[in-house]
Amino acid sequence: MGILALCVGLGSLICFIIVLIKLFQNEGALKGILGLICGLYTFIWGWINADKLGIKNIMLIWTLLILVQLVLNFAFGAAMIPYGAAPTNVP
Amino acid sequence: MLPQTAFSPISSILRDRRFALVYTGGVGLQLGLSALSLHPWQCPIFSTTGVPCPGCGLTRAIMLLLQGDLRGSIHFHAFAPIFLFLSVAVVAVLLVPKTISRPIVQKAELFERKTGLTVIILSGLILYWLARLFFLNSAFVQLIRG
Repeated sequence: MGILALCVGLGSLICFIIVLIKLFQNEGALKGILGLICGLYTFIWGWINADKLGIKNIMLIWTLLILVQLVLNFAFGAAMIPYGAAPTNVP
Repeated sequence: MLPQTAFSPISSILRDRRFALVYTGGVGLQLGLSALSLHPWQCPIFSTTGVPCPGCGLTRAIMLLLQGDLRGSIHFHAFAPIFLFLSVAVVAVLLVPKTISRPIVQKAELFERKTGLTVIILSGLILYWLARLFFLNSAFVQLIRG
């Protein structure tokens, strides 16, 4: 299961990097850095510009991997995440 | 050729209502999942490589800030107050009619371009991340891992 989580994470990382490169190329360094800081921004930008940049397949794969990651996390907990973070409401 | 909004990324988010709406939904979902102790979306860089990215810790920092724990929030990520302010600004722009928001966003864009505030904030954020990564590496990684 840990290997599955690692593969899903790696796939997600690759998709993120591909879209991030597109973000840097099309919107400049400032928005690229913003996308690096906030993966959610990159994800949303990717979907909004998916057709224009021809990255719809990448976005579909990335979305699927995120959903799989969420399901794995929900079903099996933090043990699924190779280097994952603890729940965020821990004081 | 870069678009005009390349040098004013924040105001370009405020101007694009569709983007702002989706972004607000995403942030709300992330914070909501985190408040329910469900594992929100993990950073793809940290979850795969074990190296925290510049934004790692922001979700927890914003959650602590919303709970009134400023010290705890700053401990997780010093830029959380700025990101919370920006998130509130995005929500405010969505709630206010276009006739009111448009001139405000235009002024925000002029301010952004004139002062280079976004460049300063993002540069500071990268320097902050590098300092944590190189000088406080194990503590930083342990903090993010939990």
